[in-house]
Amino acid sequence: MSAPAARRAGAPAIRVRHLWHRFGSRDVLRDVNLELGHGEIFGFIGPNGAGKTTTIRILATLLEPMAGRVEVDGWDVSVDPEEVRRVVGYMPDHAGVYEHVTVREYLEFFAEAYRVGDLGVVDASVELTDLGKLQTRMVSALSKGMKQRLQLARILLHDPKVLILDEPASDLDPRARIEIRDLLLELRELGKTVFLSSHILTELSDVCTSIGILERGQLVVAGPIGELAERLAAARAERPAARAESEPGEAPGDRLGAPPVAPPVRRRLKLRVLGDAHAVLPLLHGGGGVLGVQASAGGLLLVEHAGGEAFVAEVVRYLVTQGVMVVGVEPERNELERLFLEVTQGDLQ
Amino acid sequence: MSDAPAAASHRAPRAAPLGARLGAAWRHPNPVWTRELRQSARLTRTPLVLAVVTGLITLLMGTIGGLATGHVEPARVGSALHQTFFSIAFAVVAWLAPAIASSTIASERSGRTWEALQLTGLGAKTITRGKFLAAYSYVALYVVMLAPVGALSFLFGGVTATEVLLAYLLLLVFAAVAVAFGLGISSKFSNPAVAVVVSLLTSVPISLFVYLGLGLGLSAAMHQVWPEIPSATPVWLPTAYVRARLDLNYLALLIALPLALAAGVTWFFYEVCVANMAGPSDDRSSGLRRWFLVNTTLVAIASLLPVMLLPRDAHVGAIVALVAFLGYLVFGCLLFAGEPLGPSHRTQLHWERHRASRWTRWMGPGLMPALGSLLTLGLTGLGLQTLVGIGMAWLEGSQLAALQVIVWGAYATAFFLFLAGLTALSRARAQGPTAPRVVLLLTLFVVTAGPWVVAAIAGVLADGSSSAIVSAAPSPVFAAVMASLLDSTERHRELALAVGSAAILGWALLGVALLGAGAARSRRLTQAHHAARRELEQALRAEEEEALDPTEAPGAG
Ligand SMILES: Nc1ncnc2c1ncn2[C@@H]1O[C@H](COP(=O)(O)OP(=O)(O)OP(=O)(O)O)[C@@H](O)[C@H]1O
Ligand SMILES: [Mg+2]
Repeated sequence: MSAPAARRAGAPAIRVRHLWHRFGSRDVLRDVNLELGHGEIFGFIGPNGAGKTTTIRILATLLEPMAGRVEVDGWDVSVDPEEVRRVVGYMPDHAGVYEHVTVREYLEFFAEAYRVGDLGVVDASVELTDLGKLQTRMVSALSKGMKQRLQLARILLHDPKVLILDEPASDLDPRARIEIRDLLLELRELGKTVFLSSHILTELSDVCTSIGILERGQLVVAGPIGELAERLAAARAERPAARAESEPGEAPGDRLGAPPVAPPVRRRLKLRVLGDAHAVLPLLHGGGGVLGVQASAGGLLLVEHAGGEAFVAEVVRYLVTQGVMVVGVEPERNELERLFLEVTQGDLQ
Repeated sequence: MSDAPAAASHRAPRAAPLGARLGAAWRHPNPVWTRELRQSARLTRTPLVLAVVTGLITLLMGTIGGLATGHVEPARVGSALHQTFFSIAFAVVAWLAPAIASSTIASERSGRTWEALQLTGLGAKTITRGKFLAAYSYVALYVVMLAPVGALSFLFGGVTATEVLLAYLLLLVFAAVAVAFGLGISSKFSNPAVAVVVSLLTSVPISLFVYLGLGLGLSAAMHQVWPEIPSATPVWLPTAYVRARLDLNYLALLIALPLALAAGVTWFFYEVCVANMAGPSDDRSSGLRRWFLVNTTLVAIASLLPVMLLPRDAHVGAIVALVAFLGYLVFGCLLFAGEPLGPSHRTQLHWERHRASRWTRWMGPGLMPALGSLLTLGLTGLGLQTLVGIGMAWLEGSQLAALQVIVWGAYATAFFLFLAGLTALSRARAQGPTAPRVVLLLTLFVVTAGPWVVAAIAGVLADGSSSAIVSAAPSPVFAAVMASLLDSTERHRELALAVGSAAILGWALLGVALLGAGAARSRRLTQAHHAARRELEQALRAEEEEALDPTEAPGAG
């Protein structure tokens, strides 16, 4: 009798199929389907209690899926957890660190535990995470941001293909958050696949190549950011009314095609003009699609509107024809935040 | 249905020669151990506490020595100091070692460092060994720190240097048992404070029992065997090593038995710890089963020691052995009441992949294989003990003694069958290990004590008629009544023996029926589970193939 094939060759970095999980009598994950190519940075977004951590713990082999199949780099997490552990670097949310050891000792311990053999990896990951100067510092004396970087250094030691980070930027100040973000970009360049969860949207928007939005255990939207935005826009154009009621038992796949649509979203456009901005106010007030205008010193205008890019172009053209010297146009674009609010509207707990 | 788990990763190397393994362990010491050593070396509080305890012990020893000097001859002072010191040292190790060990794994869980450690792929066994070594090093270091204080008694005479040294060695052996016990507790908890409290709440009464029973109590018994050993001295074993004459009893009672006991208990808690740390689909059964196999064989042999110790009434020794072994088998039932019904999907796949032998599968997760081992070992052991008892009775030339042994052997065997059957059915009907264990304990209590209550009431109702005692026949203790009636001329003798035999037959038949029902139910559930699993796999595969087949995809071409 031949042994069943253990690893699927040419498999995507992460593949989740019909994943269900239950705690007690509560379905925490309901038929989650997800596929993630190598080298992507995937943002896993959802309100508190949506089931992000549960999904992540299953990916990291710390929890066993109750039904469905979950594969990481072609290894089935419930059949070959040891292999999955070799290819995954997992950073838990609110993880602890050993006190009374130095940064270097901490990393050396994990390098030994991972049996990497060559302790040169410690230097490499210290370098990557910029912990060089702190190597002799006691772990207990590190700040939260430094501890977070230490955790990142730890999960890089065994050179995993897939990094799974649960809320890597929570509790961090904006500066530390930017540092982590830059680090993620660097890791992407090294060819790593990154799966990160968050409910802070802005920290993800400029690093993620694709996102998935989880809501009450169901994946309501998943895909590359640009594609999702287009799909949402198309859906909005088709059904401009209110958000479609989601039917109970509806499969997430059905909702992908026709995502629930929110009432007009307020978007903001920042304009800078030469001269007094207040003089421009009458030109914009009452214009079609304009929801509100504010002027401030320095020729700054803040236009709230419900239109798309065409609207922005139209506003600029109109102002120019009216003789206003427009020197700066800055559409406030946070696609992710918009997507998130539209999809999970009313369900934020 | 709960699932079970599988042997170590298939990458695990085949057992390398011991020399090679020791060499590897020397070059790459367990990383968990070295890290913990480093951490505790930086702690200043704990050594301080230990230094204070040591100071207090020194003070106490000094006071006893000082007060006694001049009034009592120095040799007696030395001997008293020796007993006092090692009694205290025993208490310190008995309480400190489990407390230290019990917080280690629990604190990894509560400090949220556990997941990272688990994901390194070190494995439950390596982590357990690392934790064991760390806690043990700490306790051993403390024992060494106490050495000068213990040597004080040596100055007064009355004890030899060898005795003191041996006492220290025994203390170190005992520390290993205590650390393993603490680790076993720790592996169950995720809050270190709770784990420490639980370990203290259990280790204090157990250590008192060990001190009074195996220390003071056994010293009296040993005094009978070797008059050179003073009775009523708790720390008798090191003295016995020095003073007892070397013979078969010496080897069996003083060397083999204590070492086997220490090794058996340490190994048990090690396996418990490993099993508790493994995931729900891992093989958590094989290790404990191996332990059970070896340990049960040793216990069966050791339980014959009373036969050796009571040469004049050897058949009584055999009966004591039967009862003690039955007690051990009850523990076996409680242990296997936690066994999963069958191997998990993962274990099954790994077995198929590695073409696991029938033996590996038999020793793997599964309620019926586990009970099969229990029954095989239990029935063989009880049978052999009965045979030894009959043989002893024959040597004594007493037919009555032989019959008594047979009555005890038959009752013990029948009752064991019943308990094993009850374990099978209650585990197969429950979701987890707790319910069957509670059922087992409650049934044991009710069945053992209940019939005597009934007999007492019946006796009152029947106005003191002695035949009321037959109502107690279902209690296994009734075997004693049957054995004592064998040569009596009492009127109810025939009735009691008949009812007793019926009870024996009843328990055996009930046991076999329960075993059958448990086995059937367990097989049905396991098959249903695997069928559902296969169905799911098929559905997933079908969906995959559909997705891959371009002719099926809408809009293709
Ligand atoms: N071990 C557990 N036992 C019982 N319920 C649990 C357990 N772990 C999580 N849950 C429940 O499952 C749900 C999903 O939890 P999960 O931690 O996955 O959410 P999350 O999306 O990560 O939320 P957050 O943003 O707050 O981290 C929650 O309602 C939680 O209460
Ligand atoms: Mg979470």
